[in-house]
Amino acid sequence: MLVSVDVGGTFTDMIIVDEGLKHFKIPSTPKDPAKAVIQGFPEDCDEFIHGTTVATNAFLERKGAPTAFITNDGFEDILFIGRQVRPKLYDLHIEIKPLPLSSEDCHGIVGRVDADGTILHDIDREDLERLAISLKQKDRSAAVCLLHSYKNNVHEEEIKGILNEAGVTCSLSNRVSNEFREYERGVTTLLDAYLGPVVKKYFKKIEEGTGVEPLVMKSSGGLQPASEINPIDTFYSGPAGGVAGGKYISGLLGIDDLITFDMGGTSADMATIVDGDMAWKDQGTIGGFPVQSKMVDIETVGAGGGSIAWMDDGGVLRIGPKSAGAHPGPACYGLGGTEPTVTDALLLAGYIDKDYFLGGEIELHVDRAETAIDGLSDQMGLSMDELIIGIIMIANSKMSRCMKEITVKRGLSPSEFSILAFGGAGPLHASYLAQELGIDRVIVPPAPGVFSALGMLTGDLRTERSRTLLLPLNGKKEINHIINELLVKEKGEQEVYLGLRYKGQSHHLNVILEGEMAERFHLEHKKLYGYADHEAEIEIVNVRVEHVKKRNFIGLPETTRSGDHPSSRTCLFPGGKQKCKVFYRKYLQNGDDGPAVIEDSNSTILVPPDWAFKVTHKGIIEVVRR
Amino acid sequence: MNPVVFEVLRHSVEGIPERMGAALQRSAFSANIKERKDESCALFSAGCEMVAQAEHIPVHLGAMPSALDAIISSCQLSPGDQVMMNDPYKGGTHLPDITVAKPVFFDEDLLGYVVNRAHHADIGGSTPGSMPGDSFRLEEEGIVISPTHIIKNGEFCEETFDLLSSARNTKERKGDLRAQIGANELGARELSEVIDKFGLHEYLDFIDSSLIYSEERTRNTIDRIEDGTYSAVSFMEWDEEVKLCLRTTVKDDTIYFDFDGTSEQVEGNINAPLPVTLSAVYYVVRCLIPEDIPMNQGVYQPIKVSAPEGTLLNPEYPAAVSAGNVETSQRVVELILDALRAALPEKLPAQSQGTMNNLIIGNERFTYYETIGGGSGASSLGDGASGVHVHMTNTLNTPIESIEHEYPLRVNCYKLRKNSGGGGLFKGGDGIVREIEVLEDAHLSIQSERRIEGPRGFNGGGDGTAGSNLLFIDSKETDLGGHVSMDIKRGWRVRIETPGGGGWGSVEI
Repeated sequence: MLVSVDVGGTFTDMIIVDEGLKHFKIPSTPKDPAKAVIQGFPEDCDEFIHGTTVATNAFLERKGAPTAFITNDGFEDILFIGRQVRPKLYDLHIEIKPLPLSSEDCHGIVGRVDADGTILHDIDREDLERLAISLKQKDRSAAVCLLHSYKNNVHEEEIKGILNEAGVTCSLSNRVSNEFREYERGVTTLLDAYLGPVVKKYFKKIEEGTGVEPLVMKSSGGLQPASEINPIDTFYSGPAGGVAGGKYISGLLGIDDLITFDMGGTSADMATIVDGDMAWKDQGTIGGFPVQSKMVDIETVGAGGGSIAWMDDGGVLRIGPKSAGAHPGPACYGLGGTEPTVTDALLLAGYIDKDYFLGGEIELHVDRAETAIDGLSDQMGLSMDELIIGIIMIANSKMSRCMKEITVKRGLSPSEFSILAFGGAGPLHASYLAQELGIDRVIVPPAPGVFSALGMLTGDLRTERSRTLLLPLNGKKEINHIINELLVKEKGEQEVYLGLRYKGQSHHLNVILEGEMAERFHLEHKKLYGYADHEAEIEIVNVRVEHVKKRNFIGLPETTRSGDHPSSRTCLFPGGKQKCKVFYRKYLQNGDDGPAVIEDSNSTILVPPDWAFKVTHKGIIEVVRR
Repeated sequence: MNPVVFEVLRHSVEGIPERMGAALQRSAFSANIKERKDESCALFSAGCEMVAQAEHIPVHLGAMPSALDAIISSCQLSPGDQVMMNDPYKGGTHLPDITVAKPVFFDEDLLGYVVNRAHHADIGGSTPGSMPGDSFRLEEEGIVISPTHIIKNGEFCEETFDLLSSARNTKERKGDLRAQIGANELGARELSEVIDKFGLHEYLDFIDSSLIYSEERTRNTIDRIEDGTYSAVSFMEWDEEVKLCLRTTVKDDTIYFDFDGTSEQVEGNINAPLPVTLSAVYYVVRCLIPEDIPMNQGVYQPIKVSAPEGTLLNPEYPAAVSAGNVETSQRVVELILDALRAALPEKLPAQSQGTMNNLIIGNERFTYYETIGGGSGASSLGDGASGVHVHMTNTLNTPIESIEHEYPLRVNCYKLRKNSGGGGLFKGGDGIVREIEVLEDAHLSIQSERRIEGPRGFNGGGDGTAGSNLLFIDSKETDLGGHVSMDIKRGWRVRIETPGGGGWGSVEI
């Protein structure tokens, strides 16, 4: 038996693959997230895949372990200075979010290495021994980040010896990240030290409660056993699961270019799959801080089911960024929310069935939604119907703006893509977005409401190790030695990437190590940026070795369905009200023309007028332009 | 206009300059454009009103409209044409910023313009980077280009490009220009798509409504400021006395900025062309209005600016301008805040560092250019921030590990300048200390302000500490002053200490 659990803020999604595929949503237990996981966990689990927000939440809520920061003398403040930018361009009162670190806990030590790795000054052991004792007394763990430690780690390793001897645990920057840029590497190391104990404790609890060591989904879309995981690699565990699933669906259907579109209660996540592969980046951000960790490249828009519609002081209808969240939630939840939200509009447009929301688990109150919408429509001087469609259309235009941007950034046009829609609200909005972007096809996978958990099942085991080199490409001999050091002496495939750039650029491209590297780099650069410079010197920024152990995902189960006699209801479209066929996905056998609504257990699929749908293999639904 | 259609169109239209910017950054060569994002893209109406703009640096706010005005008044534009310019005396700001504009037609009719500007790595000035520290005349700062066709009937004009032949790395210049041209093509295409989808009538209706909407909301904000005239005077830190004067008058929902009394332009590079002065004014207003107001010409309508010709803030040819953009602009912002503080004591912070601390070290082999953050002023909302860029810039620093890898430089220290922020109920932010040792002989230029008088506190708060630029030869220390241009030798150390911000409110006993 294969179990996948994805912990979210409101629900914990669980998928069990045995003979068939079963999925549930369990209310999350945010105070003790392990509780919901253990409660719903089946017996006889052979393999347990886990998407977790434990590190993310512990950081955002500042609930990690007190940590000290050790760096070179004269650079004690580098984590406070950061990149010296302010977060908002037009705000006269500049506010910068603090890291979980006080300046008393920052220590500069004697000792210095230059950019080539040459030691200029030695460290002072006696001084460090004194520091170690005082850290022990204050019960601090330590993050150590020294300049150029990716070139020469001797000082960091020596410091580790001294600290450990005094009983102080520490994270070393050359082990946590080993990439250049002292601020980013320093923050990454600090977070590793700060979150390590919390994450360790959580996994221990999970393992004791379930009896299985989970394979954890990382922000990169790869899996790694909980005992080996670095907390900094898990910040986007859940969303990465959805994109990993997107890659799987892309391969399964032979559709190379996909935009994954995951719309939930508070926001919408989007990412691109190009030529069948996920787009990733070497560095991301968490709560406004950089993390040097491989991440799937995901863009988030503040538009979800809970986004609130309001009139601004210029009389214009706006959606978000404020969200009703899960509590009190949209007005129609009947939990005290009074402001109209996107979900209220979807309900009153007839797209959502009040008795079949989340498979019937939450009963929706049409009257509450009406009151909320009515209030705003009076204020705005719009009819109820105009406002309902208006809310949906404005949410769509916010999301399509972002979708356009992520494709243009990659040098592509959105019309070259299909949309893979999931999340509770994704399949409702996707066809409208496709319409706006000139896209002809929307794909809805099985179990769209819990697709991130499903996607995690398709992941491979991956460990990534990298190191900054900053060497010219034509002096490549040196690097073979370094690659050998990074290779994992274990079964599995190894993928080696070189991070390359034209000398003088500050960002690099990751190119797989194969054949004539200069040529490959020029080609990649031209593809992504529109030009190549054959005369410029190429620099190797870093080398990255990925050790991949393929897992055998048994695949989506075949489904047999009895066929469905559709009922009907009236839905509101931009062109006016129309009678819609209503299907239940679990019975669905054949396609039909829109307008239609397909009820799924945790989601609803909308087929607008002028669109049609078909059921392809494994029960995947394609909504296509007629 | 229907408020739903308005908002849907707003997202469609505002997205256009954003994506032009994404395309420009993607395809440009210069690090300034790619990494520091020193570029802006905008969409204008047929009547030259700015409809939407995506900028990353406030100094571009007023510059784009001025540049387009200059282009239209001197060039005939047909479909398939694009025009470029950089002349600070015809709507530009400083020479490395090149603006490229393209008209957009619908059938036969002019629909508007797409425009972008980008900071090129070099424009042929007397020093690499084309921002010399000691220029007297504009020509020393590089090639001056009046509005000229770079694309005529869809063809690239090589003879126009030849104007740039004395710039360093012309191949890169061509690449950057091509990227700018491509970004405009994308913008024009996308604008046509919007018209196809929503119809011409709806689009024109949107422009009108959008400008009125932004104007009304801006006027509402100004209306809430108490009527009156608010004045301020300050002095640039220069060899001779250079005075900045401002009388701001708020009358109902209009605000007037009159810089009469400001000193005449100087023989040096701190002159700020009018578009730079406008940008500083627009920046302050932008900070005062709600952040969700779409940035378009409507916001500028209630703002009236007058700066006498031939003065520091509206100089005439051939005055040099390279530090006007980066230093004088900061001081103008502080001057405006000084004046308005009496009207908005709860909203405005005490003085911030008011400089960008421009540091250039280089020789024939390398050019290292950096601006350094400092302290921001405290306000009624709390302490100022330490070690940040304020006002007209917000560019990233260069990591120490990159500096030491790429240049013959060693950084001895990079830390906050403790207790440099002014005291008070809320403390001003601290400045930064950065000390660099040169490992080769090189030339040093520094453009900085607030080296004599520190940023002032407000409402009883203490003053921030003034910055200093120090040179160490062995153990001998020399104070270099605010504006520096000199040769330095291997082993010498340059130490920049940036100003702390002013404090706010007195500490109760």
